[in-house]
Amino acid sequence: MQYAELHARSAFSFLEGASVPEALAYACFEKQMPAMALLDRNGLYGSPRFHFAAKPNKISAHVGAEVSVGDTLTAKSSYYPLLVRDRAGYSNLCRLITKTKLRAPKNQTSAATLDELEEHADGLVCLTGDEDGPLAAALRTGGISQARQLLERLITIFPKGDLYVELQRHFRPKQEARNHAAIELAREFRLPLLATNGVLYAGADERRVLDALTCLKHKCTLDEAGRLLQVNASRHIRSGREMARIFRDLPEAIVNTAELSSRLEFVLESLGYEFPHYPVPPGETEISYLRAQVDKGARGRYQPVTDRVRRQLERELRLIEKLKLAGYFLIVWDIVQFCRENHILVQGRGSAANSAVCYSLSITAVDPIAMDLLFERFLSEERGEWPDIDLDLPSGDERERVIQYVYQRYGERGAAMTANVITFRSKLAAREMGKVLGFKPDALGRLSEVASSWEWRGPEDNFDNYFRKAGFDLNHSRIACFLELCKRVIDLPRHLGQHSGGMVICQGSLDSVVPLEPASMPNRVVVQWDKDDCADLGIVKVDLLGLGMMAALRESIDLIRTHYKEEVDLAHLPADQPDVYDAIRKADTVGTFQIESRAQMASLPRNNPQRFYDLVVQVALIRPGPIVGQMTNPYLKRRMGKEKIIYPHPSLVPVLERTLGVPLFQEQLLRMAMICANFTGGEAEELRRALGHKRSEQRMKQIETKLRAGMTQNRILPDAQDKIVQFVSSFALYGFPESHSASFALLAYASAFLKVRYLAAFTCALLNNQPMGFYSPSTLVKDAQRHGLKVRTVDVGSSDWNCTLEGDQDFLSLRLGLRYVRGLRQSAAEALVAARRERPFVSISDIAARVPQLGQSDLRMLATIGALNSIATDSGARLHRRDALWQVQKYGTRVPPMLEGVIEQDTPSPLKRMELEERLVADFHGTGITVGPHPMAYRRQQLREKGIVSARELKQLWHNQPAVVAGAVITRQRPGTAKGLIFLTLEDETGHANIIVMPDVYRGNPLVVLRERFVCVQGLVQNQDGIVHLKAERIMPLNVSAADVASHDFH
Amino acid sequence: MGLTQMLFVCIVVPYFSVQASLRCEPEQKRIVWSSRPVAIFDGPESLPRVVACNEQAQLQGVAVGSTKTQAGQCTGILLRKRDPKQEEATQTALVDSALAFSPRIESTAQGIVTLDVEGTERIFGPPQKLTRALAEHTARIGLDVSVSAAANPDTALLAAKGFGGTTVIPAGSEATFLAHLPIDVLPLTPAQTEILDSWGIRRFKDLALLPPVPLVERLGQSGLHLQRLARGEISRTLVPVDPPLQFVETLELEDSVADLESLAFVLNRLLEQISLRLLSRSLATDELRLKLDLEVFEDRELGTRPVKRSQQTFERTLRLPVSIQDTKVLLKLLQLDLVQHGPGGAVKAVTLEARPARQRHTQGGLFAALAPEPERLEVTLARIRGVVGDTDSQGRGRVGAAEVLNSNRPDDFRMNAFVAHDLKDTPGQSTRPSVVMSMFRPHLAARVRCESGRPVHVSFAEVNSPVICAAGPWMTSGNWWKKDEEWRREEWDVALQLSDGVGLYRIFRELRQNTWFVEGLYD
Repeated sequence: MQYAELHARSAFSFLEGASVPEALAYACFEKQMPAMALLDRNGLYGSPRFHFAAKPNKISAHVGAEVSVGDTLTAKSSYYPLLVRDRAGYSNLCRLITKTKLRAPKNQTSAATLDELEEHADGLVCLTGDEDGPLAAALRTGGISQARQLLERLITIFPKGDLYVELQRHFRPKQEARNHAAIELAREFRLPLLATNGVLYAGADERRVLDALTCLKHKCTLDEAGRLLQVNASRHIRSGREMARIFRDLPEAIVNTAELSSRLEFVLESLGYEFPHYPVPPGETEISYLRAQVDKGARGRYQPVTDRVRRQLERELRLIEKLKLAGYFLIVWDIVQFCRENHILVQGRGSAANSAVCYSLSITAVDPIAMDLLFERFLSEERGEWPDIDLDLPSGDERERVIQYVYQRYGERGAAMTANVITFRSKLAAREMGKVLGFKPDALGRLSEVASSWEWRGPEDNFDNYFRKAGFDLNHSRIACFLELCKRVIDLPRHLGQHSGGMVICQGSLDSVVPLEPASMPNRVVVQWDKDDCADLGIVKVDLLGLGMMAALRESIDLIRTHYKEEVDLAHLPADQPDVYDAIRKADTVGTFQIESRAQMASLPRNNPQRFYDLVVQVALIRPGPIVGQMTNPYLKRRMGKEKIIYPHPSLVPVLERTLGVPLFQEQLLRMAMICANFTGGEAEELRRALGHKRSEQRMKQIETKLRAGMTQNRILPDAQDKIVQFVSSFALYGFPESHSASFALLAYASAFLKVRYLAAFTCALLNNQPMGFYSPSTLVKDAQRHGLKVRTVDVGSSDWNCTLEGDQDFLSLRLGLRYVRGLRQSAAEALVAARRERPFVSISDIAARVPQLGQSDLRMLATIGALNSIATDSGARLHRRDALWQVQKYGTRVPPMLEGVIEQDTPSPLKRMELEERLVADFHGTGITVGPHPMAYRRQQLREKGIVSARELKQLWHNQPAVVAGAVITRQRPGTAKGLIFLTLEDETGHANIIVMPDVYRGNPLVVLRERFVCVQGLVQNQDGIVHLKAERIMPLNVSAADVASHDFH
Repeated sequence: MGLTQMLFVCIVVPYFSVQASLRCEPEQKRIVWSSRPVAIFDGPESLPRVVACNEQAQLQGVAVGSTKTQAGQCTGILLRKRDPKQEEATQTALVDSALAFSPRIESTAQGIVTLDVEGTERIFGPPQKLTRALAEHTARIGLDVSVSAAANPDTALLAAKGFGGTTVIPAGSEATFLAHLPIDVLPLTPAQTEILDSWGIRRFKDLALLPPVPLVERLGQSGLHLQRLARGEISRTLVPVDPPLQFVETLELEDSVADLESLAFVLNRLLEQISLRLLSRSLATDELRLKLDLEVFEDRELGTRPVKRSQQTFERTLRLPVSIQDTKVLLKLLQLDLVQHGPGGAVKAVTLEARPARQRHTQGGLFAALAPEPERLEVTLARIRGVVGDTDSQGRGRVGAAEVLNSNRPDDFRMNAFVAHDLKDTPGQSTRPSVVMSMFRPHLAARVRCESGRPVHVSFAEVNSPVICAAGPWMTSGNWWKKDEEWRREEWDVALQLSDGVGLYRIFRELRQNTWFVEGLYD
């Protein structure tokens, strides 16, 4: 007897289901279930994943949801299981969910009314539900008579064929009593019976997970949960045979599942999604208008427009026309136009940079023709999916303006952000499961601290070890339970977030394609699917991504205009400037985009960039792909002439020539497949996707066979075939698109250009857009100072909220802004600046009186960092920090009415001046930055006497020479690709020293490596090709200063 | 230096928790351990943390708040669990030591005792001698202390905290003596610590030298108080220790008593004494502790058999649901308890201790239903308990008011103390007829034969019958996260043919052991 499970919830019911859709689909496959309906609560969150998991296994994935509907009689809501029969039903369900969701703020539940249900009932099938369903609720509150009333009402909403009386059997007496009543009512109203198992998890074991999630939902422990927990473990997927046995007295309830399943013809692929049309002037079509814009743009971009350009544009436009994508390009163009009109920097990245049309429309800044980029990586006929255009915007307010523009333009129900599903990661899992098991808060804190998230996962980085390290006894039964739960909940969805920039736009109403719900940010709505689900279902998204560097570049340009009286146009920067490349070659790149990390710096002198394309390679070189695929070192060796340039096959010379025979980019991979194995552009892109994140052994084998067949056809010898297959399979996963790299390289060059030519403006802009990049503000300041920039302290008499430039064009200095004062609110700082603009402050008492927004702790912090020193005393002498601290202690508290308006003059205090060390500590504590000498500079003499060299001196030493170096630890890294090696960067007054810590040295001194602010490292110098590292043999803490020097730790 | 000005002595026990923990060890061991790093830990069993440690441990990087595992990495460290009772006993011992030197003692804080020693010079000699004597005296109870004498208690305290060994501060020289002490010896709030630190005030003298009026403007009166403390200018009166509120009576019997009747006579005498003392303080008791010293019989046999000693003491604790002061009721309760739990030997000494509690001052509601007096009810319950026993086989109480627990587990309840409430009508009580089941406690073991998974024949006790019809199975399981309390059951409601008609039973199979039981009979 065929049975279809038509009522199941997944973990996408957020804490009310315990298995991911894929697990449910797999269980269906195992139990030979022909069809299943996923009815998550108030949403279709899990439907795409279920659909794509079920499809290859030939399981019909029915769509539906349990929708919360309020009962007018009892003023309580119950969950109505609604199944989608056809496309109209799907639209209705999406709209119904959207309506209820958007009515309440995020994370608050709201129910539909029965009238709303009636309004959206067309195309939907309703079941009477489980114990949370309407029939059970009616029987509970008003007995059989109320149940009768309910069914009478439901029959008017859903014609008889679309209403089923649902029966579930979980071996519970109360449920059986309810079933008796339901059967009686079904006979009375001549309604069909439908057996379901109300599935909440794939296998019986997962009942434990559901119990734990239930506790999280109700914020209680397992011991306190009592009857909230499952009575038994029977709500898992059962085979048709089992269900037939359980319902052997009611065979029609089983037969009806197959009958209903056959009526549910809707599948998720037929969403009815349409990308909006772009409003074109009368007499124009979208494509004609696009052609006109491209033509206009191309004339500006390409001077002159060569035949090759024209051919490429025509080829692209013809494909765009064929795929009916003209509207999409116009809409993205429209967003870019909005940015340009509003002076918002914008630059397309990702595969869009492969398109000459995008370049002509000013969506991207890289010329794909000049760079010979592969268009198929962006768009292909075979692939049958929408192109992906990502726009980088300055992070912060400007990006928000663009997002709001899209909302306004396409209406509230026409555009939405894509979701970001937050899943349980190790830390969250440990904390939440600990809570559920009733662990004490301090134990929980310790656990989540210990559940380390170092990027490198060593063999000992597993749950068992986390807990052992935290002092837990793994033999304890509760700890064993804890471990099991933690492992099981990893990767389960916890809640829905909002993707940082992905927007979906729709022709007509988006709410009939996918349910929308409010985002936590005001004025934003979010779709219930994440970006991958949207992409899989063919919904076009435009990524509006915030990039800190874009904001910094934008601000730099403004500062240059104001202070240097020069105009810089990023689109037309002078190319290949020798001084800029000089700085890059010397790895003088602190603060620049993408090429500032320690690994980038270590490879810059070897790669020796001379022109723009070298930068494109540089950006892609230090990536997991080339590193794991062991391409980085061969490339650098060939670049330095230390290794011969060879190619796997002569036919690949044109493809790999630019990268010296080493494949570095995804496009090269695609071209290799096209040239060697006769793949079409679309097939090659298909290959890339197949080798992507969700790769399967079977697909790999198929692709290899296809590749080899093609290569054999082209008479490529088996040895070369092996090499090519190895390139393809090891590299596809991590490879970086060349177009993407080119977009980033543009920003890298622009940032290096600004740093070299306009250091003051660039540093100022960087400091105003933190956090971003690899280094802390302190390191940026010290680097700028070493380059000759004068940096001045925070001063209430001169500082604004942001850092500013002072002086004239010939000698600009940087004034730190009030934003760097720890704990100071922006509103208070702005009030202070406004008051100062009215008239300067004459005393601390004056500040306290005129800026009441400053609390005593603010005043104390300002005094501590010396920001009040410039205020003259009665005698005209400058205050010192302690004088100011003495004064401020009087203010900031309530002033007696009699003294209101009385401005006192500041007087010197009985306190002693701060000593040097005290000032250092205060600077780092209060701002994280000191503009004075580096803490190490004060100790240089003593260090020298001990034979400790400076960072600059270290660079002069020979390979394998023993040395000792000391400094403040400014970065700590343990990259996933470095097999447990730890990289430290030490800073002193002369620059940076790079330290490599082998795992055994780390194990000997873990706390010194992880915690100490100042260390002294003894080891052997590694000086190769001008790159100097010190391989640590001993690491010792160094007592330099109590200053809290920040380290950027990547772990 | 005149004795007349020396009024107060303060004793401070540095690293009090550590010393309290080591105090009862043999002296040799204590001396050896005191020179090693020692840390005291406390907290949940799963994650204990260091709550105190000595200087040696601090030097090796152990700090309060470190986990036990972290502290354990320190070489040669001795880790001990905190014992509040030990600390309490140490403080009491410290107070006792001090009482030997002065009747006016203040138990200032944990590990700190202040003595008013005015007029003791003739007994104990000059202050230098007195402080040394105090240090030696406390050394005998296993504590290494700092002792300081000064003209006011706070100066004595600060000096004892700041200086080691013994210190005597002559009157008028307080400020000079205290000048170099670090500022954190003062009782500072975190905010004060932050302010003084930002001012660069590191020692007492820095604070002492600040101008007082501007100081008050900035730190308020508390700032001035701190400054006066730093200058040694504060004077206050001691808060002497109160005699403990203990109601214990002990009686050693000339002839040991073996029968309960005679013992009741003794108990009555003690209870009367205690009741009188409670009454004089307007108190009652909510707990009685009875300790009986029993006659020891040595069971010695010739030959190789070892000596066997019978139990020496017998203790019972009676927790009362209400505070009671009536001697008769208390005696009756004790008697009923002893009937059930006999001492098992002749009694040679009786100690009775009553925990003091406030008297009950309640009056029943005017319209409340009549309920028995709590005292009489308690006696009745005690009688019942005497008949049926205290607890059942599952450790649940047998007597009291049953409370159904919030659990999926069938028949999950506990017994609470029976307390009479206002028996007002509670609305919403169900009037629906429901099936009632009499439970078998403990459940009756049964033999059940099944066919196709359904029970067809059941036999238990006198019953041996085919199943006429069965409803089920009803499956329940739970407590999977507790190894010893997990359960998994398959239940059936069965109709059995009995000789006098049909009986409806609830039977179940405990799936973990695969054993059948009869749980109850439907009435």
